Amino acid sequence: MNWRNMALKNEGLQTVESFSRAMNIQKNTAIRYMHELRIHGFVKSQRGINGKRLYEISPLKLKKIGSDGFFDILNENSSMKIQKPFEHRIYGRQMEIEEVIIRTLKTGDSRIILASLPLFKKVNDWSLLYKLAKNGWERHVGILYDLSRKYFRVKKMDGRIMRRLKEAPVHEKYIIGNIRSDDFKQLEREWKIHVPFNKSDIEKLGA
Amino acid sequence: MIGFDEQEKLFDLIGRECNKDINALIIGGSAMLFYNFSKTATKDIDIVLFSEDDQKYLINILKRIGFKIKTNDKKNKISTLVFNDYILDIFTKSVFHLKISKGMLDRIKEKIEFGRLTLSVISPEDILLSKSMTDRIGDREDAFSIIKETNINWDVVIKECIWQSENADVRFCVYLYDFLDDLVHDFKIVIPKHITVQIKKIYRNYIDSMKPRKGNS
Repeated sequence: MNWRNMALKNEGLQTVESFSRAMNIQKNTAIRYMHELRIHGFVKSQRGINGKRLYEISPLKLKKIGSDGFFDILNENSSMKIQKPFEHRIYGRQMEIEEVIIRTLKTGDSRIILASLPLFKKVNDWSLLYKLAKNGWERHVGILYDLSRKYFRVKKMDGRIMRRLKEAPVHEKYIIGNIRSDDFKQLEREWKIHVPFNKSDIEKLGA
Repeated sequence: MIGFDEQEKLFDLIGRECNKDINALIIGGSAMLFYNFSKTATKDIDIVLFSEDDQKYLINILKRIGFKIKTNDKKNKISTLVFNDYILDIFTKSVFHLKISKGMLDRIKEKIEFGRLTLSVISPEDILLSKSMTDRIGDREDAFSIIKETNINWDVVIKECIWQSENADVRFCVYLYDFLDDLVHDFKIVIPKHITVQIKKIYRNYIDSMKPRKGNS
């Protein structure tokens, strides 16, 4: 059986039923073929509405080298899942949670920054977070940390690091564009930074 | 010939030597190795950098590793460096007549960070377009295997062809038309009818624009 050809002909999202219809085979055979396609790396599965299993068939297979990148770590640690625009890999080392938090800020994407809030639960190395936040991201990290502490069980930040974050100069008042919050005015005044979220946004994280 | 593992080791070595952030695109045969195409080795590694400073910096690193400059084509902005079996072609901002477009960057399929060297793997459609810029038979064979082994999004190819004709080289549609025509005749590939019609139309428009206008001597 040429599995690549089968993947070529059935590229796209499929259920077992649609696949068996397209191939004109029985459901049991379709399940077996799907299993073989997965072994050959042509299928990724995901749960759709009502827990129905959806199979994403693609003849194109990327070689994954190195370890998990930005989107994998973000999606693994956040309840809000982000659609990967591309496969991101890190070669020769593991990417740290602290690095992911800073990178989310640099994307300037509100959904990605929102998804990063639960990541503060996993931060162990506050000094690394501070080191990476230097050069203009200190206050942004500080306000997001305080925000995540309001909704999640986040470990207490080292007092010295917190002081340094608060003493950092204000480089950019906004995290995204000119967006400010209606619900977190007190935090915004404290950090002199505007948060692009309201309570309803954070509720989407299941907080 | 350079296999995937050798290529990976070389990128790792270059990445360890980099002391500043360098972004580059992997194109051509080396990009094909990142996918599951039947091609398992490439004659040369092709990378595209985004600035002349990065090009100089990378060439210095490669010289330090032991590479020697074989050719330095300033017109086409290509430097070829050689070390034993390794041949590295370094382009800057464009690959012959193909300019790196925003669309190409949006279609990137994989980004790998080797230390401070970030390499982005272009999409199969863009590999196909980069292959259309040369006359080598090997590139036509590679293009054939790309078309055979994956579902090419031909609309992307057309869109990029129009962009390239408008922003890089007006003759781009001619190169692509000839290239695809060769593939159809030599390898018997099947291109959807509406796509052939569209490319032919762009090609004809270009040819018509070349004709002298009435009243011009």
